[in-house]
Amino acid sequence: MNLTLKVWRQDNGEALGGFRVYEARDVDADMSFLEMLDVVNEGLIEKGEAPIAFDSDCREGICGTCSMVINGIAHGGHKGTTACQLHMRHFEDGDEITIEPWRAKSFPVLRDLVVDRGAFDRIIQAGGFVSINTGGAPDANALPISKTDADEAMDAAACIGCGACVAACPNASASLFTSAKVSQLAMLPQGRVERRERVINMVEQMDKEGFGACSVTRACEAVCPKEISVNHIARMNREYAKAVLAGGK
Amino acid sequence: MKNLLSLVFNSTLGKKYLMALSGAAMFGFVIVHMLGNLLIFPGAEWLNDYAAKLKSVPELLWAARLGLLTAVVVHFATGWQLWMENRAARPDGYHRSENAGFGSTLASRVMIVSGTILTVFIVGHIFHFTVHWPNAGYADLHDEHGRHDVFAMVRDAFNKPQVVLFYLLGVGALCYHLSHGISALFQSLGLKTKRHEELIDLLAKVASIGLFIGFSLVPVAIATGFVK
Amino acid sequence: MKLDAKIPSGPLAEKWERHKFDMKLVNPANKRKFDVIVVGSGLAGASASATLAELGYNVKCFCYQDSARRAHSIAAQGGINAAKNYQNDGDSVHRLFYDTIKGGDFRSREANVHRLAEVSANIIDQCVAQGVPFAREYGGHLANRSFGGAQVSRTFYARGQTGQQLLLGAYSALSRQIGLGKVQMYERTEMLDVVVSDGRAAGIVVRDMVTGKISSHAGHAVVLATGGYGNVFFLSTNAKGCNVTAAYRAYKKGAAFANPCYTQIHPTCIPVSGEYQSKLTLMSESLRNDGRVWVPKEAANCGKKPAEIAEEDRDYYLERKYPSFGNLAPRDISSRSAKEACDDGRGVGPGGLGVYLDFRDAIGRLGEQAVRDRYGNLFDMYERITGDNAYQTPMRIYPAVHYTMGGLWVDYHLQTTIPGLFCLGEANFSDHGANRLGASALMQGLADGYFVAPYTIGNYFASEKPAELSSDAAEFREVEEEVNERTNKLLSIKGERTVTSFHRELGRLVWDKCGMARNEKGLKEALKRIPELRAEFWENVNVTGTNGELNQNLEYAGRTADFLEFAEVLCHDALTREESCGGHFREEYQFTKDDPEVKSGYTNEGEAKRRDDKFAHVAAWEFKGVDKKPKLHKEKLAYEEVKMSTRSYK
Ligand SMILES: Cc1cc2nc3c(=O)[nH]c(=O)nc-3n(C[C@H](O)[C@H](O)[C@H](O)COP(=O)(O)OP(=O)(O)OC[C@H]3O[C@@H](n4cnc5c(N)ncnc54)[C@H](O)[C@@H]3O)c2cc1C
Ligand code: HEM
Ligand code: HEM
Ligand code: SF4
Ligand code: F3S
Ligand code: FES
Repeated sequence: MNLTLKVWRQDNGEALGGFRVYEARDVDADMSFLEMLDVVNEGLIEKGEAPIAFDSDCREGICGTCSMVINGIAHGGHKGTTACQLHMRHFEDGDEITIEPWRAKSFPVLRDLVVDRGAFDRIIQAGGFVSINTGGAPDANALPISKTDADEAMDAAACIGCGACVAACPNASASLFTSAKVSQLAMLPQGRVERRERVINMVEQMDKEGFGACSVTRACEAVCPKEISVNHIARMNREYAKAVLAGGK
Repeated sequence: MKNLLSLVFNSTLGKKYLMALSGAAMFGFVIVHMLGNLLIFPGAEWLNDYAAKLKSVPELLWAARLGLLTAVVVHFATGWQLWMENRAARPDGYHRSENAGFGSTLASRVMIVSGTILTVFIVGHIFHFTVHWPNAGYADLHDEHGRHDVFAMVRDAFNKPQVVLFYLLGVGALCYHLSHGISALFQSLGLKTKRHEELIDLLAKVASIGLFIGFSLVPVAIATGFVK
Repeated sequence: MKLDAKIPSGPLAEKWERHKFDMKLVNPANKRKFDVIVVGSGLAGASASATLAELGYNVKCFCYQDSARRAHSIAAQGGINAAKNYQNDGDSVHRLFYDTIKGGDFRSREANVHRLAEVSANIIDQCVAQGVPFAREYGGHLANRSFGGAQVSRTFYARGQTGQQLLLGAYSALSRQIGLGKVQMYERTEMLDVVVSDGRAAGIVVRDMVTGKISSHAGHAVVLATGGYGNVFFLSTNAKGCNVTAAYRAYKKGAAFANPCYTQIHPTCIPVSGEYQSKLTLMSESLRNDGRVWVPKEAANCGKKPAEIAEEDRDYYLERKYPSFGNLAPRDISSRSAKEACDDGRGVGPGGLGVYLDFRDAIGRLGEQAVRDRYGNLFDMYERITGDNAYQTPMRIYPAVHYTMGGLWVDYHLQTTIPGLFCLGEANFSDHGANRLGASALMQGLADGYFVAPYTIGNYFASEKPAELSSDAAEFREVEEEVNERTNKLLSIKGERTVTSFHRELGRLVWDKCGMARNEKGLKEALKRIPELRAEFWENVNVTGTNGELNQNLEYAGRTADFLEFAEVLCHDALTREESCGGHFREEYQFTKDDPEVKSGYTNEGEAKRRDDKFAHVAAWEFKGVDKKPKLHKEKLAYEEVKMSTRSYK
């Protein structure tokens, strides 16, 4: 199939960006979306032009590196699918495809489709951990945890930190990402000891980074490649309320 | 204490609590208000009596008014503040608009619009029925017991099509606002859990549609001549 | 170069405990005077960085991804082994040790492996304490499964995302230290060289991948935890960015590279679909618990739809050849059997490079729902990639490069031949011998990072005199100059061919000549062709843009340039190792029908034949110049505890 790509190009963070149009010829239906871009890039390099910069690494939907808005939808809009797992069989000959970076104040564009998601790391640094040093941990089976709790914690822990939730949220809110970690650790006895400090610190950092608030539009859940539920946001809100009512940190 | 206040007023989560709590208070009010309005159907006697009773203890009345006013002010101010912050979080939008808001409802994305229409309605409505301005004549309507004749006032008002339209618009905005607002309220307060999710969403639907019907009955019944 | 493994004396089971006592300690107040540079934020790098920082050292951690959490450890699916014996099925430290030695085809060090088995249990404790949501039974205790040919259930797992959860655990510990200011994290920063001063590691030179700035970082010790080199094959299950650069540049600065020819081919990957293929995706091996592997008996049937091939026309070759292990035969054996079937013309799918993994019988036996519960996410992933529904038609799988056992040579302290330069995780060669058991890489990465290196690095600080060099020193300027020169050269060629085309050609060459089966002729051809390709690269590659910007093409060119040199070391090693063992299969060395082991029915014709008399050693290569043959050093492997035997999975 042949496609027309409208791709956001921007040389660096300061430069003014704009769309450029490229033709992708003879695209195979079994290609992944990123492989299609690879082929376009090969053509660009052969012409001596700068290839389209985009992030990717594992290309199997787990590292959370790939990040692009395809036709206005983060990761392209197939349930539970990252951009790297999206295959061209979902497109049709003659389609025009618009490709843009994640857009949020807290995710500045570095080049073309590449953005800086350092804000996510800083949110985790603010409290997304259990304060335990190496060594001295009790036997792993000393603390039984109900299977339901463990499973629900795992649901939240599955977040790959890709940032699609922010990209999709009309408010560029990082609530789904932040809540996934808060919720995971709130479900587990290991995490409960520091639950108050954790939620307050992580929310504080999230706000400091300039993400918007959650107005419960659920766009994040719809694009999340790990189908993280907005119920975790509710749990974060609850944790936060409890922490505040208990007198803060 | 300063820290606690800051945790509420300076954080997105705290602000959402304010939105949800004020919204909940107003939600409670509109339910009671709607039920009160429905007293028009048993007849003028009931409605006027109810209105008079409400006003019989001025301290209570003013306390309630103050509470409500606080809720409206907090809700309004916080709503706008959040809206502006949320815009600032996404300075540049996307360019493929047909998929804008993928996965979300329109109602959830335009809360500020439905809310602002509501503001216009509420202000107009209070001038109309409470302050009686510009139609100063309403203040002088009294029934045979000397009570304020709310029945007559309402009947007079809703015999004008433009007033009916204004009210239906206001009530429609309310319904639309709450169709998202009620389920969001539980989410923001952290009361939503996987187990109760469906129930809450159902409640939101039933309540917002119920409010729409309940409120609309009065103007419609009068305009169509069902209540004379 | 002298290889001293520094294995402590004493009985095997007590070596580590005793040695921990014998090693020197750094006074707590002095720890903050030492700076440690850790390159890599995978399981090995993140766990080491966090633990060293907890101890009080100043740590700088580097990774090329945009976040430490994205290191390729994230992709591990299956699980992590530990000798907990929670299932009461006869597991023990000794059994895990024994299985690892045997699985490694008697080419690993007993002392290292025993230590690994010992600390394995602590790893699980540590991870659970961090909040890693391992799978649990209804009673609330940890669940286990058996994995990759093990006869006990000792594998802990978190759905099909064990690597992710373990890495996020280590990442959370790392994040905590970053928040506390004890670790400085450098994301999107690629290490391009080590700096050695007076024979000791003194720091590294890096490139900021956003601005292109080349800069230096000095440290009292440098730790490389940079993962494996599987991408030398171009197509592998590794992430696109995985590379040999850090390890290779260390090799060029004097660190020995051990056993590069030990590469693991994973039997259950999704086959190549076309020329554009950029990487291969692994399907967890756990699928082999219920799926049956087959190809048509007759090549003529290969074109038919699988459902049209009658039961008696199917060859369930693993069950046929290895009745006791069947579809669960070890990775190297399963992979090679698939290759044999395809070489025999009986492969299925495009290009005849695939075999069926069929769930029909499992669905018949357990019901579709049960299969969905066990493997639903894998079936979904398969469908996403291939468009096929594996509940209705068998999956198609083919082996792919997955893991590299070889790596920088390290002693018992995980120190390379350059004092002060340590190497952890997949990047070193230490524990898996010629073949790694499933679920053991995660264990090794975390063992190295949490429980071994923090002790041994302290010992280095306390007992030797580490390099004290400011990053302003002339040594750093010199290396920066080299790095700049190389970068500028890459950018100035502006030839006709893309970097990808070179990498792909190299990968195909290495896969053909030094892949699942190797022979002298092929290896010699490869050794002739690689330098030619390299020369062409340096004359005709087209790298766009400049250094002073985010330039993915340039990053890739640098990595490919290193692969083009490294591939030669790999082939030299494969050529020199005139035996078959584990992941290294030399066609000249296989059992024939005349061998007594085959006659007695102990093993099959065509199985790998080790030559313990000549090759029971680690082959460590010393760099001698780009176009020169590296020099081989041998570290003899002595087996005191386990008797060497021929593997039999019949
Ligand atoms: C698909 C797949 C599935 C697997 N499943 C399992 C399993 O089920 N069980 C199991 O035990 N093992 C499994 N493995 C193997 C295991 O995941 C890896 O061997 C292990 O995670 C390697 O960890 P590491 O810390 O050594 O390296 P990695 O996790 O690869 O980390 C390397 C780090 O080094 C950094 N780096 C590399 N080069 C540079 C440079 N030049 N400059 C700066 N930074 C650099 C990277 O940024 C990264 O942070 C699997 C592997 C794959 C590919
Ligand atoms: C005064 C005019 C009003 C304005 C400007 C307004 C504005 C808003 C806005 C912008 C939101 C979304 C906030 C966010 O999610 O970020 C909101 C939510 C809400 N509003 Fe209003 N609103 C108004 C009146 C009302 C009234 C009269 C009610 C109830 C009868 C109401 C009930 C709610 C509820 C329940 C929510 C959900 C709160 C949450 O998300 O947690 N609002 N309002
Ligand atoms: C068609 C529907 C409605 C009718 C017939 C109606 C009628 C009235 C009447 C008669 C009063 C004056 C009572 C009095 O002063 O004695 C009143 C007051 C009020 N109404 Fe409504 N109303 C309607 C809808 C609404 C809605 C949708 C809202 C809010 C969103 C609302 C909010 C108020 C408020 C805030 C007051 C002032 C209460 C006070 O005196 O403090 N009304 N309404
Ligand atoms: S919550 Fe979902 S969309 Fe958001 S970062 Fe995590 S995986 Fe990505
Ligand atoms: S899309 Fe945004 S508004 Fe909330 S529910 Fe998700 S964070
Ligand atoms: S590249 Fe790893 S998730 Fe897409």
